[in-house]
Amino acid sequence: MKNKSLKLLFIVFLAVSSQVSAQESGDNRLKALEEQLLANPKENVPALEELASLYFSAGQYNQFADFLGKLTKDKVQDCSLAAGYYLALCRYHQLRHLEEAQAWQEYFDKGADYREELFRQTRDIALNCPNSPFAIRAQTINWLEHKARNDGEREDSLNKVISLINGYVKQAQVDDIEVIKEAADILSREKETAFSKAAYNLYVNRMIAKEVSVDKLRHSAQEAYNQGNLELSEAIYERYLQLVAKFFSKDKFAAELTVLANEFSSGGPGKNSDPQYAERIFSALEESSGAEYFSQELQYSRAYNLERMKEYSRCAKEYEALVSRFASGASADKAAFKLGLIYAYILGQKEKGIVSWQKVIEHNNSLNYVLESLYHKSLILQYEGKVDEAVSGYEKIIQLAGENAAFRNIAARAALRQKEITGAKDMEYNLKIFLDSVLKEGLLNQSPLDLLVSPAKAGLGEDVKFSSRQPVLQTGCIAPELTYLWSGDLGEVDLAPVEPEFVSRYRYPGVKVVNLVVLSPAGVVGSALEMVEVDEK
Amino acid sequence: MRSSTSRTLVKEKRNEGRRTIASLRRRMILFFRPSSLVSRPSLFVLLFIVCCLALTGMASRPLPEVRIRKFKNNAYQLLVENKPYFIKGVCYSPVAIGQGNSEANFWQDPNQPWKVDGELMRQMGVNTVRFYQPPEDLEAGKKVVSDLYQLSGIRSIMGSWLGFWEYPCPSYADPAFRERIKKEVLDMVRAYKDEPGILLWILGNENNYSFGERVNPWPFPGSDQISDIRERSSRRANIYYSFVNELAKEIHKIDPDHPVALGNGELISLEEASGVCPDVDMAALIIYRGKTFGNLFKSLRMSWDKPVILSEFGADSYDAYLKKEDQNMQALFLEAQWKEIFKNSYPNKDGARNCLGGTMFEWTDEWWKHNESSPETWRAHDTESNWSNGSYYFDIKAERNMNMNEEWFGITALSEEIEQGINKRIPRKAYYVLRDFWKNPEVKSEKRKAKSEK
Repeated sequence: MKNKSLKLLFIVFLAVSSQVSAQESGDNRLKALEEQLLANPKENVPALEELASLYFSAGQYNQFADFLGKLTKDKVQDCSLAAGYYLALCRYHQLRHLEEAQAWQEYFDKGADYREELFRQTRDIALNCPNSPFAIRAQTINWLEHKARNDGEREDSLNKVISLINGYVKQAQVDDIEVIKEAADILSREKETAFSKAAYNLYVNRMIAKEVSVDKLRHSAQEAYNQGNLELSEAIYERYLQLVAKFFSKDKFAAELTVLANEFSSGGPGKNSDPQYAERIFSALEESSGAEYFSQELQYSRAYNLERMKEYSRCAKEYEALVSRFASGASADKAAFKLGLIYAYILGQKEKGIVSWQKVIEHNNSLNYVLESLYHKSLILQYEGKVDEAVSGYEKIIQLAGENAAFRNIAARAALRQKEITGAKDMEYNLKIFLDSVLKEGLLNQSPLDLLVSPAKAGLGEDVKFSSRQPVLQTGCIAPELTYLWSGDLGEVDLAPVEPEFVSRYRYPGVKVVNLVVLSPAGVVGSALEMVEVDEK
Repeated sequence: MRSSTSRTLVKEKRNEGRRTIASLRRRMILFFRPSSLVSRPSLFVLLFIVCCLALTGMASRPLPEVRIRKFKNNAYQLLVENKPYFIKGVCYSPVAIGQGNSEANFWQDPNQPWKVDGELMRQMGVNTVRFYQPPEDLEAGKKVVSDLYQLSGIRSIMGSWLGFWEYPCPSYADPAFRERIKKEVLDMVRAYKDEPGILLWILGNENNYSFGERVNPWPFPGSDQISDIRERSSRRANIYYSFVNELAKEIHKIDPDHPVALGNGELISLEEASGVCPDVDMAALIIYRGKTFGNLFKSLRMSWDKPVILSEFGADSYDAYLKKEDQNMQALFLEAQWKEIFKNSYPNKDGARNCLGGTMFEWTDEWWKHNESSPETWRAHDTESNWSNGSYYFDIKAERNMNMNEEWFGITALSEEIEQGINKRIPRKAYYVLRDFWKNPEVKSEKRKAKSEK
């Protein structure tokens, strides 16, 4: 017991003393850096950077400002040291710190002075040291502060950031190109996409001017991709592709485009995706190598990418191409089945949808898609009152499905529809409302209702979340009573949920179709359909 | 007690005015006696005065205590006791933590939260509060209005839901319902009209959203036979706005001193109001458009040329995307909104000059709001959102786009710590930002200002 207490005491002592010694060593480091800087300010910019971060992490903003005062005294702005930049940076962090801490008394008593100092210093640097990297950094802070203030000068300040970058890159000798990337990263983070793209392009231009090899360029693009900085990655890839197009063979260039298109496409092997950029590469590939270059897999990737972009008309065109060029290929039935769904329910062309499903049925290759196609064809027939044809379709489904567990769900749905007909009952309400809503004019012609699915490609038994975004209704801050009517293949969820979102799982592979209609007291607000590809992963 | 004394003084002043005019009239009659016509050299001067009085209508009645001035250039201005009055207001429903809306009766709270709030408001520069509905106990309501005015100089806008939240849903086509609401409204006006702190009346809030049937839909004779939803909406608008006008007319009969506003969600259906609401003095709009009101003020000029107050607008202080409080976001939106309010007010030449001010939503957070039927949640500051609005773009990427947090709209936050018997008020950043802005409301864009300084 005594030993234990002693041990505990020892641990406490160690912890306290290590903290004290860390504090002491921090203080010592601070003092050493200050002395180093005061002795020779111009040669010690990295020391100033380190000192700034030590002061900021300790929340000692005014102390750092005092030190900078000592460092510069009454000297004119020195472009190589740029103490003014650090003072502005200090005030910027101080203002954010006060906001974070909600220290409104100090913020409103002294904030205007801090801000004034920030603006004055950053203006001076931009004016006196326009060719210094500190000018870009300072102007970026100036803009961030104007943006935080939401004042009328933020636009001019932002333009000035770009004009300083432009001026900077035009110099014959640019030592620090990373400052351009830093600024572009901030612009990208702040969602100034047009400006960040311009800045990234200037950065890439300078990279190329430094005679970087194409391999290095590709490596940088891939690195940015892996870090999730798609804007920079795309900017580098653009220039990379322009360069390699000149000396790669046609096949090698096409192979490179294929890799990139797949990497950026939705549902592709890459960990980050930008479907719009992927489609640009697919288009470039088609232009350079022709449509015949596309393999079945590549064709499917392009169509699927467009499907996820909800570009249904273009997506239908690509699925059509796949079905006609690779009629007996492994993806043909899946593509034709999806094509049927897109035509019938989304584009409002049910006849074309039925033709597409009929192709799958006649092709009779994949039982899964045959049964699903039969079901949707029969469903439309039932809805149109052609009950004999519908019943025969449902009977065929039940017969083909047999006792196969994988088709139990579709057989059950077919049996339910059949009962509705033979029992002279109405169709399941949610499904009926969905068909009412989409068969008249197609989903594309209705007010948009966003239905999201995550993930869109799922493994067996994996959680799949369906959620509907709040529809935009003119009801001010009054939330209207909305009813969510889900139908289709809801997986392991037995009862159709009434909430705007639900999670389910699927035990067998295939394309699962889920429908949603949102109702308000005034009627249908909107409808949506989503497809999930379930595979054995 | 204090309020009735002041009221008496005001009355006396007005009666004095009336007596002066009456005596002037008597003197004029004397002047116009045939025998005196030639002998009086100042006859022409008097004739001029008479003409002026007749033209301005001053000879027949005293000026209302609160009135709207319309300038030749169609600008509008609110005058209180003949002095310009710009409404720098806030919606006021100080429900304590742990209380539900129906249980909360702050009007009778022995700790009198309005006294603490009134002082904080005064320091901020608030001059008006908006009440959505008076309490059942009229005397309690009168005391709150009186205290706010006497102790802090804050005037009150008194409103009525016009039965919008009743169950079953209100039917503005039902004569019995109309009669009952009319009685309620006129009782309110009779009870409060002589309180010196009263500024104006607002009838309804967002009742117009019921025209489109998505909220509280109500039937009218023949509504079943009309299949076109727009036609049904238009008919409902006509019925409802005519009813509001009828109320305004009655209010003016018993209270000529305070204007009547029509509460309306956005500008929706106001073109219908323009045809049937001649007795309504102004629009009181509920607007949630984010940082800018866009073309709202000019659009109103086109659809229904009346002065306007923004009776409910604002921003919440919870970032539903990052799932944390964000006072900067709220302050930024509110400051931008107030800049536009000032910009569109007289005498600023850049705007529509039809705005008389606003009452932002709201003074304190309301912890009961997210799930009002579950008392156990009234002690929690819920962060779940009830509605979505893309104009509040900071957090629109929140799940399902649900970004509006009803319990976080306060300019002051509520603490669970009790101070002076009530939840301690903690002013948010917006409080200080608006306090500074109102002291010197610079509406000219800083860009232009910078250019002109150069």
